[in-house]
Amino acid sequence: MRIGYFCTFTPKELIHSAGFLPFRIFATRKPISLASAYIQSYACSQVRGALEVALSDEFHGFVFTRSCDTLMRLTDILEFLGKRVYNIEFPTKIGNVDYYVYELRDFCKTLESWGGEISFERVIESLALYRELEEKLKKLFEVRADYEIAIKVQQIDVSGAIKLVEKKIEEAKKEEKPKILVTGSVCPYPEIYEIFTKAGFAIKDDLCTGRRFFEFNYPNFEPHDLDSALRFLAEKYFSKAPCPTKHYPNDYRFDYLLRLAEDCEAVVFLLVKFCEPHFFDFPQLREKLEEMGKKVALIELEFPVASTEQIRTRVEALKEVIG
Amino acid sequence: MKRLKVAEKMRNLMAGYYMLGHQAKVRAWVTSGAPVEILYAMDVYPVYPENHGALIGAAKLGSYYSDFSEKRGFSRDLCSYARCDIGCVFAGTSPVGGLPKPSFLFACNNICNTVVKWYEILSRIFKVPLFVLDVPFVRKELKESHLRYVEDQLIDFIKFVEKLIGMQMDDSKLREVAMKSIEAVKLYGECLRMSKNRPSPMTCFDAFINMAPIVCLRGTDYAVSFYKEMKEELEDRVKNRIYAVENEKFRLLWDNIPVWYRLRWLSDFFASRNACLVADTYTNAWTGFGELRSSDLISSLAEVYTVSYLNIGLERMVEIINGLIEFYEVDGVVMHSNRSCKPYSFGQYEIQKKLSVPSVIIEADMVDERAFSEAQVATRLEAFLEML
Amino acid sequence: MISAGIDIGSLTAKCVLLSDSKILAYKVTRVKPKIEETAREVFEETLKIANVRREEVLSVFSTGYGRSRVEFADKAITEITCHAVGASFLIPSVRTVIDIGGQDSKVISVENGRVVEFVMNDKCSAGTGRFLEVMANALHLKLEELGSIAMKAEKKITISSTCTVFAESEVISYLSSGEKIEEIVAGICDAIASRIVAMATRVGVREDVVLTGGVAKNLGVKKAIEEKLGIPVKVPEEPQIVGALGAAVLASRKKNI
Repeated sequence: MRIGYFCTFTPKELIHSAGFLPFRIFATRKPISLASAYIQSYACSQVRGALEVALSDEFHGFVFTRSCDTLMRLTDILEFLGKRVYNIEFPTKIGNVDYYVYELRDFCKTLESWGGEISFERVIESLALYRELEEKLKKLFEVRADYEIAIKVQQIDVSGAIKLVEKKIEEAKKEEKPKILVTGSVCPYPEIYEIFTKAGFAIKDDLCTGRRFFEFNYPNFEPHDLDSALRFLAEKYFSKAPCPTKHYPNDYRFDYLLRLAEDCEAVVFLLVKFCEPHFFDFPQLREKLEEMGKKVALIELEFPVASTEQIRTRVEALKEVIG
Repeated sequence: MKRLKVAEKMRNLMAGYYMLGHQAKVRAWVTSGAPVEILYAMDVYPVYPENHGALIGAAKLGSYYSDFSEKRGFSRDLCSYARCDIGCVFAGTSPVGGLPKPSFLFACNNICNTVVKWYEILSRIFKVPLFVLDVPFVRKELKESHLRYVEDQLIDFIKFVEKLIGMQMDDSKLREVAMKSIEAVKLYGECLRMSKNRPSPMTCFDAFINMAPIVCLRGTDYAVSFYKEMKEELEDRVKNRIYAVENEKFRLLWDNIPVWYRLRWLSDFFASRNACLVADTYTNAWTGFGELRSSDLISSLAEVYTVSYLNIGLERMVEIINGLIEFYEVDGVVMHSNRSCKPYSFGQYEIQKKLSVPSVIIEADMVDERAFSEAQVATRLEAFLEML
Repeated sequence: MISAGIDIGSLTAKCVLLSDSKILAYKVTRVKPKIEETAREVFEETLKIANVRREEVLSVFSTGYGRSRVEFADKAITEITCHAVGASFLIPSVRTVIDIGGQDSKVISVENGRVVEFVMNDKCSAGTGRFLEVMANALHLKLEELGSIAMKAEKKITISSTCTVFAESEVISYLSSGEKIEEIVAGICDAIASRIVAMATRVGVREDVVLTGGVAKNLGVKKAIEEKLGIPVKVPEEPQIVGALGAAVLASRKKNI
């Protein structure tokens, strides 16, 4: 049974261990029509397009984590439409692990009430599987960033996903091209990444359909019971590649991003129209990146993407400017 | 529009408040839903960028100041309070001569997550520390673990301020401030409830115009004496049969933040059609402080500030709106779909279906007048009144 | 008694003369910059057609975007109420009115000729007549031709953009990539229909559904709406004058409102 989720902070491991398939919902590629009846047009197209999918496909339930205000209300809207929903209150301020362990404990109870089974052994198993997937994806991306795979693995069973990535690692060949950093929320269109590679760039990314899905620092301890497994999970997600919907001590996300950009020729902000968290960060990040001597471009996305031609022109022009 | 006499007093009071800011030793910029009691108890002067944003909107300078931040790359789709306020920082001025620079920043996300991003930006501009009070969203019932999480942060926050100002907080001072806060909130609530009278002595526009003290001066004597006077004036109005709308025929409820640059227009529009907006969900959001217990102050502060109106699920919001409809004997609801305020606006389509009276949605923005189409709004509202 | 209804929309002005529940005459003209003048002209022309003198008309109601600027009208009523009344006058079994106007679209739930609930498009123009006008221009077609061209299509192109401006460039790119024009037009009709149906979902659709406004003459849009709703939609003989007719009906029973 599929459990739909929207955000890379979702503890997929628990959903998987309970016997469900965690299925990441991206915006539909079809025109948005149903969703317009339930949410205003100034909600971002990721949320409107995801609502469209949530209403037209089969799901056993939906799991949200607190991230942006729009997703927060989407939980309510889906519930009003008779769907089974649960919202995990992932903290906005990264820091208090104890609090989040409590929150995960409550989530386990919810999964049980949805017909799932939670046991220490199975949680450990899922933790190991996802870690394997994440480490393999990391390895693949070190050779060659493959977004078709990064998107696909978020919608299939983790064991199959690992095999798929292994196969890709064997095939992947490193290419020496100037690097470009692409930052933003989600972009479930593999053909858009291809625009960058065809223009002669190697992509490094800071996206939920890329690195933010698989980049973690793992805690240095072995869980010995369910509670410590939840603690492991909490710490793992606290150390995930940072996201603008979270507040970090010492402006960690800015530092992280500037470090990522160091060996890149240019930085492209690939932002979904109406996405507040990313658009708030954009001007000050741009300023800092330009101080570092980086070329910066902003490309605004709306799903479904009608034509990639405009994006192609922008990217090719950027390549020409850099030379 | 028959303005309340206290509106004049309010203007003077707020002018004084803005002036005092420049003299204060320690200043914090705070969000409207932050527990300001702690700041007043430590003699930290609170500056309210949101109130400032409303003021810019009312002065019809929204697009003017927004332009300063748009030029720096801030998108026009961002919250207009944030855009205008950041714009004023870049412009180096504002309708009140700019806000006094902060010593530190205090953002509480019980109204939206937008404020966290907004205050992060301010923190980088002013290079001052930012404390984020992270409040979990309450979709159903309030959980013990959530409350403890907020409580722990309140204690952290007190330590944070103590370290900055080099002084300990006096518990009895906090208690004293909290009592004044409760008193002001109680009086303010009583003022709003005067609209239960038929015809009503005031409209929600009066409530909007006179809400600044409950936001900015909650916890001081100023707010208490101001709302005492406002209440007396309203009682006088009732006694002397002075009504806000002469021939009150329809009683309506407003939902969402006001359209600040069109208060006058909207007020005249409704009055000339014998419709009185007797109440609103926005100002009522500040009346929920009755639960503050002096015996366990920190934990009750945590509770009160966690279950704020914009931090609860749609189901609970529907209950509250239907409660207001019943209490004020309302015939219809006017919902402002506010481009700037996502947590307030998304879900309105669903809320509409659960209300006990008809409702209408108008599209606008609280501060940015470019998002307002007079003909469109007028047609919707007129048709709604014809329907009623 | 004779009454008149004048509907000043964003593109066209309409006038209907009514006598004892019978339409005496009607007229549709283009709106000129001066609204007062437009209103007077369309009124006078209609009087001429009916051979009625101004003094014989006992009451005049105005509606539409320019309603409050028709100074000689006795009262201004919004097009929402007027479309409900006008549609009920023509088709008494109506429960849902879908009106696609130049700047505004609305879905109105009607009971016994009265408005029970209504929803209008949000600020954007993607679900309005304006959308079709922009697309017709982009394709170098006349607005009136769109419907019959769409009906020739065997399949439709999907228009993804929700914004009129983006949809326009999307349409142009389909054109340059050699897509069949009728399939593009059918896609345009489908796009507007899906906007309308989303609005209709918010009020709830009950039969009979009546489609009014100038766009109702576009068979492509009508067909697309019927497909999406899964029920037939009725179109009055002169869908454009329904608002003006409603105003005339209301004017005739002046005392009742």
